[in-house]
Amino acid sequence: MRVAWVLAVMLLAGPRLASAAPPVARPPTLRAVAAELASAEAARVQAAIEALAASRHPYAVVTLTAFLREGQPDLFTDHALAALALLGQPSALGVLAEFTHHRRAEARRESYRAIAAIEAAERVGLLAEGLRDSDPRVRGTCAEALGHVGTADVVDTLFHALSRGVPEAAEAIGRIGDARSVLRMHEHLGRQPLTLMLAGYEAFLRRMDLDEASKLDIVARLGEVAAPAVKRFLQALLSSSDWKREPRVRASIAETAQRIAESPPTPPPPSKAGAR
Amino acid sequence: MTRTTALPAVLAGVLALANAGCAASLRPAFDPRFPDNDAAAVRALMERVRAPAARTDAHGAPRHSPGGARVVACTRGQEPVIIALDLTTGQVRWRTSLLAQGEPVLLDDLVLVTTERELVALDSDVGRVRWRRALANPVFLGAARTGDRVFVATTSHPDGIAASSSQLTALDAGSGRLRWEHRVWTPIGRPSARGDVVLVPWQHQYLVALDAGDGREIARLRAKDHVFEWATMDAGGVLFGHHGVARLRPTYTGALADSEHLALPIEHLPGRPAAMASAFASWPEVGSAHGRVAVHFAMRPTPDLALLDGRIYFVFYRSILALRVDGSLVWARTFEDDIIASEPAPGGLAVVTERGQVLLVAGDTGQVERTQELGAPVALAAIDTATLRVPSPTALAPSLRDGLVALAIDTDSRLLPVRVLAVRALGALPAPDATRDLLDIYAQRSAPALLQRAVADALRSRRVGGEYLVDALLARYDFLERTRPAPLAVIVPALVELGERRATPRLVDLLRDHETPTNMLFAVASALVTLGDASVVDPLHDFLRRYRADSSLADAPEALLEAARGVLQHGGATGHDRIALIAQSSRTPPALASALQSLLDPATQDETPAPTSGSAAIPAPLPEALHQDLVRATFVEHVSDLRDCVLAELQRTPTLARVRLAFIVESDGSTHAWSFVPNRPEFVDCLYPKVRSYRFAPFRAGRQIASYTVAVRPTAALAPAATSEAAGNAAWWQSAVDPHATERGKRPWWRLPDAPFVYLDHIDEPRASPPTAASAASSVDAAQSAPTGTEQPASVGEGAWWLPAVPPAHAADAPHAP
Repeated sequence: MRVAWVLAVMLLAGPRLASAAPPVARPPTLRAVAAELASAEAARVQAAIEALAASRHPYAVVTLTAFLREGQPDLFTDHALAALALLGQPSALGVLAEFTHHRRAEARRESYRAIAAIEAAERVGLLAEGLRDSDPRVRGTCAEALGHVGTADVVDTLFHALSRGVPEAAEAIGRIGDARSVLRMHEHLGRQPLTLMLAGYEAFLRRMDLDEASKLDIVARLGEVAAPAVKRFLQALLSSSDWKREPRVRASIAETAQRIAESPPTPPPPSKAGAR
Repeated sequence: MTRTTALPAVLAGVLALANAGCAASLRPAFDPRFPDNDAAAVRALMERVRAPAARTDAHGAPRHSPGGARVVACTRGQEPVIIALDLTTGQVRWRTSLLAQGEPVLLDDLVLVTTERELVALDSDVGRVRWRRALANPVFLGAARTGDRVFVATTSHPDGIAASSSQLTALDAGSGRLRWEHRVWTPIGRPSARGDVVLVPWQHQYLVALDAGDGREIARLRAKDHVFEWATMDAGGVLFGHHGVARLRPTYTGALADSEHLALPIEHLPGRPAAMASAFASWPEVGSAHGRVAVHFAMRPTPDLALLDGRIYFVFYRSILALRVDGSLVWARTFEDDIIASEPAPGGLAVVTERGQVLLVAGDTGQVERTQELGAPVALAAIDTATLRVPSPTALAPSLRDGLVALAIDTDSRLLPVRVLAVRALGALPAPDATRDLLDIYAQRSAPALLQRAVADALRSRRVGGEYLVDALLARYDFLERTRPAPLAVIVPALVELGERRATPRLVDLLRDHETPTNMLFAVASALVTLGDASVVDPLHDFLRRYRADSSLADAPEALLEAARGVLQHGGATGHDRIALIAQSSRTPPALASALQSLLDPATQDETPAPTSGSAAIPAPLPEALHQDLVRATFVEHVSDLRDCVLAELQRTPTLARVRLAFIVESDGSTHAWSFVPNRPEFVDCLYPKVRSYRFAPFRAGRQIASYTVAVRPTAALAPAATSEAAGNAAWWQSAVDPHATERGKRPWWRLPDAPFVYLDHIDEPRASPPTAASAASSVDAAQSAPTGTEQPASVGEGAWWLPAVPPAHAADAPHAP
């Protein structure tokens, strides 16, 4: 019985899954799937959540919202939040905003991921709020998400987060910042860990919408740092792309990488003047 | 002691001859056979003292010096000098290079200072050495003057040790030549002099009055129910005392009640300062803390007992608090430098600071009305306020509240006891703003745990200013802004005490906020139940429903149950149904469902079948901290472990008296970081494998230091008479099982009700055992050191900032874990 039901749910879930499943007489209705959320069997509940996610139907959002608000074990809560991410419906923002204050950090992360997946004006603000969370994983999730869906409005907040030690903010800034952001980024060079800064610079350098002067400036700044890690970074950058559209940037990267020594210069031996 | 003899006139003549040459005659003074508390002698003494004569200050030194009000200070540094400053003009009168050992004694036109073995008399006007004289004994107790006589007391041992060899010497003030002297083989104290009388405390029990001219004893007072720790004279008569001040009445027969007595509200001040320095203590020397923690007051020279200006000044390093005789505070001030010396004067107080400033502080406001400079850092100073009158306040002074706040937030760690005092006083102020002040003090990052606990207590006692507590709930944790959440452990109980219903919406917000610490959820929910109405039903229900199956509160179900209780209490029939629905839901864990069912139908609570394995009943709310009773209970369970190991150790160390175990307990009852006293390898090897597996009762706070002490052999001599026999006969492990078997008759200090001010013993000596704990026959002193009613956990390591980082009083005697 259970196997048949799960198969039916899979059929409902999508053509790709359905094609792999044996034919059934009649797929259950969404209402029937929703009813399965009350099942005492974890597998059936999970299958129902997946089915609702795959349905892409607004009713699924309503059902999952009620399901979440009823209070569920961790696994179901996280699944349901992930399902809302798949559904991507703005109507889910209300319950997702509630769950950004859930006591369990993983539930909050799932909520923020779901918010990031919903195309709505409010999501950037909600994600920016997540940078204030006490849990570093939650902050990291929000910073990452802002790197993908954020706007120029949120760059200031990301810089603030970077200065407070949110490492993911560096890459996010690299993704959405402008030429002025490059200059602000330089201010953090030497204050934040180099690997963190390199992630941000890489995001800047790989963008096609950033002007060449800014990229050359980044490479020049990195050349001043002249650490072996920078050399390896520039070499990897060079080999990962042909830089055909930006030959000057490519040349600068190559020249800078070549200029940086393999290992830091060894200190001169102690003077023998005082030795006997 | 009293002996009256009526002798015929003939015999009197014979005795007179005997007095001149026989060994059996009375010595002129300090003779044990001298009659004491003789009514006629007491009356005569009082008449002689009250007769117009050289005026003396509270210490027995002349008050009206020829040169007027002045300060004489010994400076610090490579080239120490003595500086005299005229308090009236603010001018330095003279400087003399001299390495003084002790505080100068100001005696009219003389300034006495002690050097290594000498007493040096300086001319008060010019600072020139007038005479020098070797000290009769190594310890200088003090000096007094009347007329042309100077009376110097010295002893072989300070602090009134019984085997002292003491000497009272009368010297000519002009030349230093000896006039008469008394050598006594028992302790005497600092003399005071007035008119033709010299008064000397003797053996703490006697006050010996001598004729200043020839040194004859003229009267003797014997205390029967008190001690003569100091004595002095003024125009009103004889003053004496110990903790308080008493004025001698003609009817004195040895009881304190025979005198007019004034109790001073100083008993519970930090550092337990005496009303006046003991006359038996050595004269303050360079480097001593004398003057830095002291009480100062002056009596009006009238036959009644009245304080000058009605003020008592309490000096504690850099701070001064002015008190009324009923103990209420007038003002509190914090100064930049330590206070070396202070002396009351009409209208206020003259103060010498370590930096060498002389401040005249107004008695009504605490404002500094005048500042004079000695020009060098000061080690010791003496002040004669003489004719000085501190000017009336000229500027608007900070309020008592402002002064207390400034003191409470001062970061000088030495001031902690007096900061606690300030917090207590703030808590007692009627101004609503004091509530906000207390919250601000609590929020200080540098606020020590002891101060935070005092703030918490003070807030709980507040009956006004609830609006500030409500506003404080708005504070939220914010990683970016580095803001911290409201100190809920302090605010929530205070709100409940106040019945502050305006807090309800913000408490709801806190219940929903994931940054609210888990260990505070119960308190928040409980406050909502207490303060709330029907409006809190939905939030409480939502909270219960949302987290009933979530792992985040699996270990703290008491908050969920409290929320359910609120729904039932305020939700009526609907609330009952809503809880019933949750209880019956398959999503609700069985243990929680069972507990909810019990709430729904309390009558069936006892009939509820015991939960099966895997669905353990919801435990009762855990205590905030592991109390010593629980520690003891665990050790009592395993008393045989201790017995075996201690008996083995007794074989190795027959003199073993006590065994002490200290360890860190985690909130789940597990332990680590054990340390043992004695720490002999054999003993540790025996005990550690056993105790490491002990599980203590779980509690909510993160972790705490705990200790357990066993007195291996009861000390019968130290036990109360009623129980000493039982204690002496009881084996130590029996005492360990039942500590009350050897309970002392007297209640220990830490269980006494709150004092008018504050008990600060544990602040002064944070690691010391209670005064009588070590002496008690009870073998579990640590077990009894827990103050009742405290719920503060002894958090160590990385706890939330709002939890005390220092073990509270009940763990104060626990040693640090290794």
